[in-house]
Amino acid sequence: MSWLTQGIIDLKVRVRALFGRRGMRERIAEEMATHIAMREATLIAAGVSPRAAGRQARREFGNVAALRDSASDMWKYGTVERLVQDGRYGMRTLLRAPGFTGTAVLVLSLGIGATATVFTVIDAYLMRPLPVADADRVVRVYSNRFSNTSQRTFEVLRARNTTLEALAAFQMTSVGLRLDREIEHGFGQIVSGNYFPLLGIRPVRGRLLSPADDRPGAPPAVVLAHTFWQRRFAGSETAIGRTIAINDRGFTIVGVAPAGFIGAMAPLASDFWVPLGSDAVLRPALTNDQRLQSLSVHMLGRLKSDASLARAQTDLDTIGRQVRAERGESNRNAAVSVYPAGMLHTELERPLTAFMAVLMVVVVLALLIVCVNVANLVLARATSRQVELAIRQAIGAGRGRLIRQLLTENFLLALGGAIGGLLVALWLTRLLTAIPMSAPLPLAVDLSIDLRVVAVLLAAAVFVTLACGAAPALTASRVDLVRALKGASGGDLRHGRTRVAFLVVQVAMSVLLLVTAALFIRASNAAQSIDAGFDASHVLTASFDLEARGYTAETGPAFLDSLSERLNGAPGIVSSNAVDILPLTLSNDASYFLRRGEVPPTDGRSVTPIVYMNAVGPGHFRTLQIAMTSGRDFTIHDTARAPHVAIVNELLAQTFWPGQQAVGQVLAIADRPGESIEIVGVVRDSKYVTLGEDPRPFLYRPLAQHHTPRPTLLVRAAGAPLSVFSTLQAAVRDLDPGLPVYGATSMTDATAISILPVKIAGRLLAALGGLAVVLSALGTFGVLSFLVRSRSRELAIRLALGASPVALARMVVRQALGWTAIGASIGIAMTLAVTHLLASFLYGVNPRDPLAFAGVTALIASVACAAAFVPARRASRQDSLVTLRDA
Amino acid sequence: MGSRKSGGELVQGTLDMLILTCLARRPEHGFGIAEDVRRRSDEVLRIEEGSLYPALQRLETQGLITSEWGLSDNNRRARYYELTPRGRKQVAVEVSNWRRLVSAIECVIDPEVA
Repeated sequence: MSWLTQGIIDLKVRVRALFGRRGMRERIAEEMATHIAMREATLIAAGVSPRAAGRQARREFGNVAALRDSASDMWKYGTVERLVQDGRYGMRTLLRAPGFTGTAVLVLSLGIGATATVFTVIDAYLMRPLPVADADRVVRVYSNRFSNTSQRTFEVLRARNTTLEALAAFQMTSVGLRLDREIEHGFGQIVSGNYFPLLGIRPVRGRLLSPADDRPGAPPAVVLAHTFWQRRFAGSETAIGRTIAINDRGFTIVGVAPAGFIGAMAPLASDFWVPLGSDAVLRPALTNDQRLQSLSVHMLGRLKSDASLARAQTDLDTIGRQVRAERGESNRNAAVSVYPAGMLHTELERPLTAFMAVLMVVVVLALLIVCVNVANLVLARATSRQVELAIRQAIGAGRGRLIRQLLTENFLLALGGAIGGLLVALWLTRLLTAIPMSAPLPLAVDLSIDLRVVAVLLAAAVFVTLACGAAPALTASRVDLVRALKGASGGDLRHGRTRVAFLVVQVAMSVLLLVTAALFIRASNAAQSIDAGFDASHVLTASFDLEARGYTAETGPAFLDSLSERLNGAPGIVSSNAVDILPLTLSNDASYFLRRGEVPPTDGRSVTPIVYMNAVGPGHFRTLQIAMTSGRDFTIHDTARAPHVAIVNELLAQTFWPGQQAVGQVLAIADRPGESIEIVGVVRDSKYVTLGEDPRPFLYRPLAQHHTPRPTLLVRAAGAPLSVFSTLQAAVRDLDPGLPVYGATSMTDATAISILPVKIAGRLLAALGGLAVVLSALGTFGVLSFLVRSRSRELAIRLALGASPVALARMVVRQALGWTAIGASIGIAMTLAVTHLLASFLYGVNPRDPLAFAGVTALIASVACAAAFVPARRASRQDSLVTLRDA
Repeated sequence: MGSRKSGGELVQGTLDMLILTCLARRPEHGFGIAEDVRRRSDEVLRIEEGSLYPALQRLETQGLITSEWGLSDNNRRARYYELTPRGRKQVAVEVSNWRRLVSAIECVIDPEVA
């Protein structure tokens, strides 16, 4: 109790003292005056004369002012006061040098802002837990390593496991939504009844789905996503209880999920959630078996309170192996994998983590460069402030106090930088969210700046303070009083050496950033000039969900055929066809194939390489202008009932039948050796999955023989691709007014996604590298001016002894180039060590590309010369007489 | 900004104890405390003003004493100091500590020598 009261008293009196310091000093002064007066009175009473008594009393008492100060010192929080004082003083000093302060705050803002932005992205994708109750008990469960699971296996895992409180299944589903008249395409999730209970989230309106909604025969219920509710119902209460048509079946809206919950498939955002049991309503055309087979699910589990991740892993894997054994499969690998649940699909999480780590390293490097520069500027200023520092030291400031003062100034700079950085980060994240994603998928990423980002900003500020401030403060506070006051400014070689070391590091880092940027930029140019092997210009792409409208493997191809027929006759359209996979969007499908007479090896592979494939409608090679070298194109007669046929690329033809005609040969998919496929044509090689890929064997099948529920239509227009969109829409409406068209875009945009990461990385690195060059120019300039100033006497003597001004200027420039050469060599060595790791992103650009290295080196060297120009001129033009006399 | 020496022949703890015991008798102003100590010690102990006022402020911030304005015997405005309940307890502690110390020292000093 007593320490508490004491603390409160203490705080009260001190706070009063802090704010009422003037009053406190007056009070003590008055007390002391009273004391002297009383003493005087006593002396007079003892017979001393009044004048002598006054003198004696005052003499005895001593220095009133000093005593008053030391008495009132007892009252203050010394540290706080000194801090405030340092802060005020620092602010004044900084404002007196607006050029220095402005530059420092600006570059710090850029560095800190970039760091905060990257952190925001990392935070949004990788660090935030699922927005559910007790997220650390929630796990993701996959078949094998990262695969979806069949619903049958899901049921078995759910029934037999002993380590999970609950296991829920979910899958994205694409549907046609009709609220009033308009039909629109939407993405939602189809989830098991225990999905929401497992996650433990609360609805904002109505209720969420429960196991009762999942029972056969339950009335179809749907829960809306918060964004969808806001968008389509303007957040109205009346939405609850209304009916919304999903694939033309009525679903009752029972509730709204909380804001920010987009489902467990981030960054894919869900518009709504329906129960797994409603699959029968959504896809009535399929038999129960077909549905179970065609809808594999993702799984989320919640650990029992006594179960660990490892135990759950063992438990579920054992069950998975039992299932395998029961089906007579043999496979040594894990049957089930369990991971802690983050926002993302675990398979996405890993490469993204690697990418983000690289990005983080890059921005932290940039921030370091910025710090080194600001440190250099601070040091340059400290040098010119030596007289001031010496005076402060001479009148009693301790070295600790000077260091504290300099660090306070740096912290103010860093704080300015952090505030600027916040603005930069706000701007950059807005820019990032505005990047149009060409994928026809609903992506939602919450890149809002939260408290954690602010914490990172502050941490960055402290880091910057120490990084920029410590070295200069330590060096600058080691003032040689006498010399500094005599005016022998600088000349301290210790400063010189620290600063040269800074400069060298910084040149090295600039080289690293710039060469990497140059490589990425060359790579994205190279990617753009890579011949994809087809012509994407003038091509419009758009997607349908045939399954959502109840089309089957029989009726779907017929619909597509009549759509193509209609379009091909329309004005402005050259050719059109449907495809399973849109090329160059990273999607792919691949199998092993057997030639005639070849037996499948026991491990399910084959002696020939894996073959990537696509299913395309007739006219595909005309639409994309891929030349046929022999054989024929698919026709509408290649139906599911007709003999199975395929068209292959030249590489496949050469690999499988070297020196023979490919047309007329027969292949079979390794898993289904009974079904033979005849090759009817050969086409030129092109790029299929990414632009950077090496040529690969490729096989096309007719769409009619390899049905896809969600095809993409390619339409070659005579003019601009988007100009034929209305024609396309009209044609679809004529054939089936209830079928929504989605994701319409030009094929150039749709395929841009494959080079987007390289483009973004190139631009980002170029921006950072540019900043680094500007900074190292500043640094070179700063160090050289400092050295020229501190060597002015030596230079003057040289001039006086007959050295030519040009020779002096050359000497200064040579020095700059010498440091730059050291820095650049270190930088080149670092870059060589790093860039080969990037080779896979570089689209064939040599990671040791001499042009990039030479170009950057030349750039850095010329920047160093430019930065040396002014100091060199100063060195050669000084008046030796004046210099020598003043020194 | 280093700490200042307490000055005078008195060690800091002793000064605090003298002030506190003096105030234990009655509330007193600074000059009164100095006079009281001087008189009671037969002019042997002299509290320097340079130490007295910082010490008073320190004791007040420690919550051992409080102060308020009052009038002295000859109608002068003076700051009177007074023990807080905590200060009163502290006096007892300090005095008994001091007595223990003194008797211990007495035992060490050989009476014969004295």
